[in-house]
Amino acid sequence: MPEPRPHHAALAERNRLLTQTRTLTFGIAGGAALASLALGTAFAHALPGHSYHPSAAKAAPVAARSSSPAAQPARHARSGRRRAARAGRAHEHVRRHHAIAPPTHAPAPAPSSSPPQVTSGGT
Amino acid sequence: MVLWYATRATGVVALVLMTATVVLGVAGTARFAAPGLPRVVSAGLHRNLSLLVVGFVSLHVLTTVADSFTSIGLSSAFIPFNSDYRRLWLGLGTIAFDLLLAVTLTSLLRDRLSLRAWRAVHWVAYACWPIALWHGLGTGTDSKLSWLLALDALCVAAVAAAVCWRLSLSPAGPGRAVVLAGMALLTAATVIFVFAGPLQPGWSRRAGTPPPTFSRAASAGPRSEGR
Repeated sequence: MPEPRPHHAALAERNRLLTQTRTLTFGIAGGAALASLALGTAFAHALPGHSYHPSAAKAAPVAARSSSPAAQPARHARSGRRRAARAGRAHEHVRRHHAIAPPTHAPAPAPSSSPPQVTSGGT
Repeated sequence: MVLWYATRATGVVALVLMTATVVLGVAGTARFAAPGLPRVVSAGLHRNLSLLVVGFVSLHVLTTVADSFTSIGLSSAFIPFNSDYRRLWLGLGTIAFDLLLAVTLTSLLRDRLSLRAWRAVHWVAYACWPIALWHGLGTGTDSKLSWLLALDALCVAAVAAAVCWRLSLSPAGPGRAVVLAGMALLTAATVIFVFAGPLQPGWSRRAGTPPPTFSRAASAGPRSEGR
């Protein structure tokens, strides 16, 4: 009895195509994973200065009193990170002593809510 | 910080993979077969790449939710226009994700669905690609980077070429003209949007970045304004 050769050939062809699909898929998946890593690194280099610590953000007003970081947009991102770290340390310092440093200037007079008094000076 | 970069990277890779999936899908509708790429292989690749897209988009969503810089909740990944952070642009990403999930689920349950229902959902999936592209352009202001703009342009060119090739095989008629006009309009609208929106200064504020996040970005570094 002759072997069903066409059936075997079709099975072999099917397996070959499946293997080809699988190989291509794994290749693309690996390439995509590598591309993700490379893109992440590229973004980190192209857009630095995204480090953010909640403690630094809380202390931002303390730092802003001496030098407002948002007002100096021309500085490099690294100096921004350094400022944030410095602000974080300042916040730690304030928290440890539970005290606020005395103001260096007298507060500005608050605007009066009552209408100005006008005197006629006469009767 | 690492999570935010991972979000960006997985988003870009997901868009490229989605573009490849769309191109393979369009080619599949015309029963395209190349000498080195038989139909069975291209159809299998289309299916596997779409699953890969779901994986990368899931990673993109997870890293976005886990990142502490912005408060984007898990619900914003499924319910559109639910986030305070760039509501419209993030909402487009949510719609694209929902469509992608719908297509994946209906494809997994294809044996239990009628071909008509499955095909209807699958046609809607074509809308997923432009929506995802606009989400990337509007939310990720890193699209100001020239190489990323070039990558977006390449994706648009690939899909436009695939659609034009597919239309050239179909008989001329009003349907073909409508699809061609739609494709041209969409491409023109995307180009105009890029030049009028993300490439203009102050896009971050106009896109709907909440003031606290914006001031945090400004204090973290001058170049992080676009976050």
